[in-house]
Amino acid sequence: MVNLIGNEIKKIYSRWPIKIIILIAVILMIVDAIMIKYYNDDIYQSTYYEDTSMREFYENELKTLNPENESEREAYIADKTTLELLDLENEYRNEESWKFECITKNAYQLIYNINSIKFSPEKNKKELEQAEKLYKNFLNMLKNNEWEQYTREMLDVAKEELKTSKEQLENATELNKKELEKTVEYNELQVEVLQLRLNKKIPYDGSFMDEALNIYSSGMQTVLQDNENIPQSALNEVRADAMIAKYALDTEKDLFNHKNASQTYKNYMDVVIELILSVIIIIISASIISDEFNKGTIKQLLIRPYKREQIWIAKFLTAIIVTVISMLVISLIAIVVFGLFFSFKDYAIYNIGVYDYNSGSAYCMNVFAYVGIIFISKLPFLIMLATIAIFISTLLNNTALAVATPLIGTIAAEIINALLASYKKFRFLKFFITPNWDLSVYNFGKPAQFDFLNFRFSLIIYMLYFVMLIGLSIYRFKKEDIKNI
Amino acid sequence: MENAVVECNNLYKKIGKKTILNNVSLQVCKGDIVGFIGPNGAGKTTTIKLITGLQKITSGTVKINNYDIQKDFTKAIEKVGAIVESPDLYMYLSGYDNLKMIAKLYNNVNKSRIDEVVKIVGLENRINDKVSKYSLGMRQRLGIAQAILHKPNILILDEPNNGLDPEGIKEVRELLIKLAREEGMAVLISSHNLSELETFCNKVIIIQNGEIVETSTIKDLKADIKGNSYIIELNDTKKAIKIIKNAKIINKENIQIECEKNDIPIIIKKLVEADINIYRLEEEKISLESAFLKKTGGNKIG
Repeated sequence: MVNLIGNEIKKIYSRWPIKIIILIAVILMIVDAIMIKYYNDDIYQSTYYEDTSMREFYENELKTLNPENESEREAYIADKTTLELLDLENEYRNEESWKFECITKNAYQLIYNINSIKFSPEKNKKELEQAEKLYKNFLNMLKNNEWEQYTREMLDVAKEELKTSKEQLENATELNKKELEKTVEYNELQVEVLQLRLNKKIPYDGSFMDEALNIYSSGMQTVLQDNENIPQSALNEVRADAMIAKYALDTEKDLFNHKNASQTYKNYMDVVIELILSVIIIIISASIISDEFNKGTIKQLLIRPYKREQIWIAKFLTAIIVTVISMLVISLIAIVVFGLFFSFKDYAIYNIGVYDYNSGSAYCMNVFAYVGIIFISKLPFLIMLATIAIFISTLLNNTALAVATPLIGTIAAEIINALLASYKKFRFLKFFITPNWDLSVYNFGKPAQFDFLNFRFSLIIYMLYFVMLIGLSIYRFKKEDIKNI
Repeated sequence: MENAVVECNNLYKKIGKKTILNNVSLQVCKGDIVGFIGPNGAGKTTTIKLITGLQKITSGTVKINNYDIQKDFTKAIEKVGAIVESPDLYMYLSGYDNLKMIAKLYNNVNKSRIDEVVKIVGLENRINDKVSKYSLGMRQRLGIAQAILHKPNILILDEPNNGLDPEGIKEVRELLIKLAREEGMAVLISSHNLSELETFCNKVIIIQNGEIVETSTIKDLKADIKGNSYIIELNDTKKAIKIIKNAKIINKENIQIECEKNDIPIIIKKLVEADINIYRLEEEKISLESAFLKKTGGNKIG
């Protein structure tokens, strides 16, 4: 058997397809490294303030609206706020991106508060003063980086709001109890975030602590909203990221920096494992049987002192082994390339944040361990793609169909998942292979996309299909008459 | 037979309703070079595929070296070397790599054996080139190389002379004779090239429409043809056939007649008396082809 596999591997590496795929992988990694190293992620370099037409649009809109008129008031306030926001952004367009981001996140609300009081019929002077003061502090913070003052004042406001909402909750009726509970949670989160910023001394400077805090804040906000339109699985991921961010804050570890070898390697390997290795394993297993039939060289193999099932199994194993070897080769080259572009020390310094759903806690691990785990957990999926391809290849002796079938399968998987999500009567589809073929979705204790799926169920379905497809393939291969070419 | 290397008994091969092989039985013994001949579609390649396990046997048995091909495949096929339909080689590898890969599948082939075999088939100069660059003749020779690499005791060759020039055919012939005589290798060759076969086969098996119609040695086959055949070169063939009964015109200058040796003087006398000039008289050699044609009732070969 070893000799059979050795021969098969030699046959594959003597031909050009595998070399071209690896070459493409190497080109991709170099492009990736260049993109990340030399191109800023200043995605907030806004172009729209250079385009004055937007400002004109709002100006014109504003002229048509009358704030005195109650039905037009909201629109007027919104437009005026947007206009003032545009002006503010314009002022800071040449400064650091974090300031721009900060404005985008915070300024609208502050300006809106001012305007809504200004143009309301009541015009509460005290509230107006408070709102304007907050805004002034905000501008101050931007100009002088006086973030601590600003944060303290925001914290005071937040604490007030928390107190109010708690009081409201005590007097809640059955109808609005849930809503008020949510409000309380939201306010508690605001307080927590602002408190963290002060305690950990994190200015609004786009540093990794600032970024982590933002991720935690926005992530937990999304989770708390619990919008019905967002599926639970997506919320789980958002929560996981938020917890990792919290862990990064607690341990003051930079887990979100992208411009380093470690993170670049991890992101690159994600793509390699998902796409490139799938392509490799599908192509090899689709052609390793049928090519030899179509070229006639299968005859020369079948008259050797080996049982037919040994020959088939050797070919199947070869597809998997070549994929693993390719993974290692690409991985090694990537480690060197990214190490050269950035720094080899990065691999030791920058770790990957991981959230364990079972224990509910986040931790970090070395990037090589992480990528290793991802690869091993994706292997069953890759093997299933290979099984489907080689099954079609053995049955029909047609390489093209054997390549197409697993690819179509991945598209069909999307459709099946959509059906499973939406319609109860399609629940029987859970017994099909595609919802169960990627066991890596259960990594780190993550729950399945649907509550009627779990790891044990998926594993059983997977094994059933695996045994069935392999068994049928070997049976067919043993029985086959070698026709005339 | 005791020293039968290959023994087929009552082989039937049916595909759907069509019977491809009908009660085929044959034997190849040690040291034999058996010519397996028949028209296209007779079932030669199918029989070979049944023997080598490439196609399923509907009913009947095949034993190689006393092992049943269906029950003990790996033992039966171990000492078999074969080329079926065409030498199956990997075009993108060199000749040497092809042989090396096959060598790995047996445990009695080492590097020196590979070199030895390369020498035997005369490919030393080109053995490291990719097979895609070989001419057909070279591929044929490499095919024979892979067939004899593991020192089989039975060689099964399906039309091995295809694409070889006369020099190449001669080399193959001499090689096969050597292997059969010196190493006691049994050889089963199927071919259309009957004139070649008769120079080195010692036995012949004729198959037609899936049935064996003749099994005998070359000598016996030719001897079967009753009477002798003579060719006479003369100047007036039309007149000659009027005089000599049963004479046939072959061409403008030659007639052919089957008769006993004692009749020859009488014939010559009759022709001379009729004023016909005789330039040449010779015995026609019975070729395997005519013997074959007689047996198969004149079906076109090939």
